[in-house]
Amino acid sequence: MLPMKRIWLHLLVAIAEGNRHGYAIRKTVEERTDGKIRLWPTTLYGTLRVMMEEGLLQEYEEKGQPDDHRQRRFYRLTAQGCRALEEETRRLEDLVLAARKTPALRGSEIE
Amino acid sequence: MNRHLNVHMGRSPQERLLGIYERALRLLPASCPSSYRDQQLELFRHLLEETAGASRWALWSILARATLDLFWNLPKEYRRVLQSGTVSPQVRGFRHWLKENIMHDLRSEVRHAVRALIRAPLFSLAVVATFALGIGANSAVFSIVNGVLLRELPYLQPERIVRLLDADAGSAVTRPIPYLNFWEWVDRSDAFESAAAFDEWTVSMTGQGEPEKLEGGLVNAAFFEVLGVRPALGRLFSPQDDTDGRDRVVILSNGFWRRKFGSDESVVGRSVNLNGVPHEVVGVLGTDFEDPLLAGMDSGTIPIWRPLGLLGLPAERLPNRGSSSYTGIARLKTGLSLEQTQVRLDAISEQLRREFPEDSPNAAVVLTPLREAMVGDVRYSLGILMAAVVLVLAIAVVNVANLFLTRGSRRRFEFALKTALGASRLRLVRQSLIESLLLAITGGGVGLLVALGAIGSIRPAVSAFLPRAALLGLDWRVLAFTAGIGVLAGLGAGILPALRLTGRKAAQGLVETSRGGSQGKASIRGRSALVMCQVCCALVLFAGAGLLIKSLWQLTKVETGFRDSDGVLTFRLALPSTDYPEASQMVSFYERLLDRLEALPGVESGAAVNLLPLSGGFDGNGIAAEDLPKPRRGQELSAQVRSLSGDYFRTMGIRLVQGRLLTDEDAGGPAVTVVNRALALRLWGSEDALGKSLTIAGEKSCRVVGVVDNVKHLALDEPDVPRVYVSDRQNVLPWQLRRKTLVLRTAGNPLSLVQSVRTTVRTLDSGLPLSDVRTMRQYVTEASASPRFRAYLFGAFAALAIALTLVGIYGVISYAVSQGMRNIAIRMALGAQRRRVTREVLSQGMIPIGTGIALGLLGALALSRWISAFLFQVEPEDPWILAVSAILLSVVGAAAVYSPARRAGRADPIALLRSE
Repeated sequence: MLPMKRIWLHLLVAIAEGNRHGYAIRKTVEERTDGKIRLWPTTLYGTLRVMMEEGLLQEYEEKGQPDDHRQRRFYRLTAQGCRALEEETRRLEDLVLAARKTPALRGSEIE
Repeated sequence: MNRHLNVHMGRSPQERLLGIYERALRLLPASCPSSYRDQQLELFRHLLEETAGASRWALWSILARATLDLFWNLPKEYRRVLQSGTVSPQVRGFRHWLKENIMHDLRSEVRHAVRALIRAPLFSLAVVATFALGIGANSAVFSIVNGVLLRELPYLQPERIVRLLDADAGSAVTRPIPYLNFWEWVDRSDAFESAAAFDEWTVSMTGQGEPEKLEGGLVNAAFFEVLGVRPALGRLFSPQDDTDGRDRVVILSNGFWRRKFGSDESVVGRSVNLNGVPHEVVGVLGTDFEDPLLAGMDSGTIPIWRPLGLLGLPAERLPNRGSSSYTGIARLKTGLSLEQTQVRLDAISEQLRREFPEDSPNAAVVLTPLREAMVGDVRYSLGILMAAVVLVLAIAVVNVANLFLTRGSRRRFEFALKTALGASRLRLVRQSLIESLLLAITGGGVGLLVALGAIGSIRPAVSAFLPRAALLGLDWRVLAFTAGIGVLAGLGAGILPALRLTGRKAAQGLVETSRGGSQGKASIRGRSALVMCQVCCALVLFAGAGLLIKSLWQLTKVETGFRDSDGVLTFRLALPSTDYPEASQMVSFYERLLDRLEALPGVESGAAVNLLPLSGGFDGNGIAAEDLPKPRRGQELSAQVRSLSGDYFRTMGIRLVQGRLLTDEDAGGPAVTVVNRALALRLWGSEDALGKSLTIAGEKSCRVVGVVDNVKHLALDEPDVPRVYVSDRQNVLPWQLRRKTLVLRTAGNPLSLVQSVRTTVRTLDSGLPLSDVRTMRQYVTEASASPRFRAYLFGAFAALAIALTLVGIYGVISYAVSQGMRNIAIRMALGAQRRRVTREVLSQGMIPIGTGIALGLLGALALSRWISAFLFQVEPEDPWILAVSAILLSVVGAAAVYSPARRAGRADPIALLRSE
């Protein structure tokens, strides 16, 4: 599963931060990437569904606001999802650390 | 969701976009859970709300991107469904079968077919051309059917809008209704959400470029609310506009606004001069506004609308119940059916007849759905055209099938070999069908271009008599129809040859071909049957065309009652009441104008009349003979009254039958009148009409001094209607003076006088617009435009059908002869005479043609009554036309058979046999 698709990572992070609803997820990702990643409905929910099938996410229903009688669907990370996020983060950290140790970057730091 | 809510123009843009996106989401696989779709829709709604307040463009761009995203993901979604185990075994089995038998090698087979068709360019070209003509003609006619009948009316829930008019029970003739009664029906029935009365409004616009006469509409304020439309600029009428004194406001149609004001948006709030009175422009209608044609087809689209200004007036100031000039439209309340409402209205009519026996002795009203009112008259006519053009396509398809059979028999070897090598029959059929479908699709594409060209040339010709024709064109329905009939035609033309070639005996082809033997008789018999069908269809079409053309011919021979209409120039004037308040001023204006016009070189005589024959106007006044018992109220003879200035009868060439014409000397004397023969006959029968007196409109008494010939007024095929002629100078009918048509008898080309006529009018009154400047001939021609259109189209279809049939017969007989050459050669070698061989081929070829003609005659007899409604002085069973059709098709058939037959007779037996 590693390395993970970029959108997956973004979604995992956004959901891990507590953004559980489709629209909020989209907004978080959009803001974090300065509008570079904008998730349109079919891509967003299609990806969420695949991630659920992979066991990374779980969907649950909850009543919305008191005046809102619709059943709203929310997403949360499964244990496997947490693990995947952790592994991917570690992989990226290793990569970042390795990058920082290269002379090119060290040089630029000194400057 | 209600379909009509989706197209409802009054919804907010957000809701419309949501509706569109919701429909797009239905493209997702059906197995997707509904929540999956709902979530996406919900997110889309959020995105729209986020953008609310931004420009419409931004909203649409969100829709565009969301939809693009959907499309982008669709393949993925469907692949998931295919891969997932949720598919039932049957579906999987079918999919497997599909993959194995249909999709397998499809691409390579299409390529193979394309190559095969390119190798036979003449064949392919012939097939494509045949398909293009057949399909193109169908698309063109369908685009008319679509534009006129199928395209939805651009109103809010158009199926709830009805028209209210008066009509006799069971009669199709409708009449305007009185204003007061209209509101009685509406108010007492409580059946309508909104309602409005409409009246025609002739008005001159001055101070804005050339003075111009307009045929506008006067309506109650709720008129546009009934239709449920919105303005493009400004506002619609408010109830305040509809009150007396505040009604000097107008709304412009989009087309008129563009033409007259150059699309100037600042026109809203500006003042325009109408009949010399300033009116404020409050709004402009959208380009999608469609005139509901309440004024009928003749006056064209209404350019300008004004409120009636009658709301809140006391009853005594409203137009009285006796005067009917209004058309009502109304929106039915939800839940009420047309029939229920009609029952309610009938009960109210009953009440009205009892309450107002003097004014409304015959009060009646008929509800008609607005769509029916607009296009009901042409539905049948278009249906017949569609049927005719489908026959043309049938002939084309049969031709192509024949071509395929001919070509196929040359490929028998190929097919036989494939069968012998183990190709399944399905595969072979498929390969044949792929070829015919490819050609049909190409033909359909070319046909669409043909249709596009045809529509372009038809549109201006038909918009005079076909409602809603201005917007004819291609849309998705026409495209879908074309694609549909293209596929059907391809399959239809390909299936028979495909089955024939791949049948059980296909393997024998190897043996036969290698032996060079004569080809199966069955195949030729099959093709003869096709020829028979073609001849049959062609004969039906030709007979139909013959009937329509003969009836058009009869129509053009009709005695109009006036002569030499080529030399008569006509134009209309309307004198504004502000400048010409008195009848005497109008009479003297016409006299001065006529004096000057008659002085123009080239003008022989001139006259002014309130209504010109064949120009579309209609009137009726009660007429009673004074020497006869007074008829009961409502049962008087209704006659048309023509009020004249100048020498009308001489100018129009109307023949005097008896007595004398109206003269200038009558001016000061007792009132006199000239009547037409129909009136004299109706009132006095064989008695002499001269010297009798009659009362016009219940008040004016006139003595009959002359009888003139009948003149056709509304239509060429109308029965003769009673009519009286009076002089403007005697002031019999002062209300007939304001609007006049002037007629000028000219020597030479009347249209060359137009400029000098305009100048002459302007020297007398510079603000007076001329309108409808035409020759009398143009009116006569227009009167037969609709039958002419039908006859021409049918004629074109018949010509096409006959040409296709000719080619079809030729192809089949040539083929039969080439296949039978070996036998012929043997017989000739054994001493058969050439002439006899020729004769035999001829007679054999004529058998299917003769049978086809016989069947076609039966078909024509059975079907011609469907067009009897369009026939004028022609019987649907006209023996001459049937005979001519039969003879023509025999001649065409014989011509097609003759050349192959001759070739057979000229064959050189030795060379032929040696070549084998």
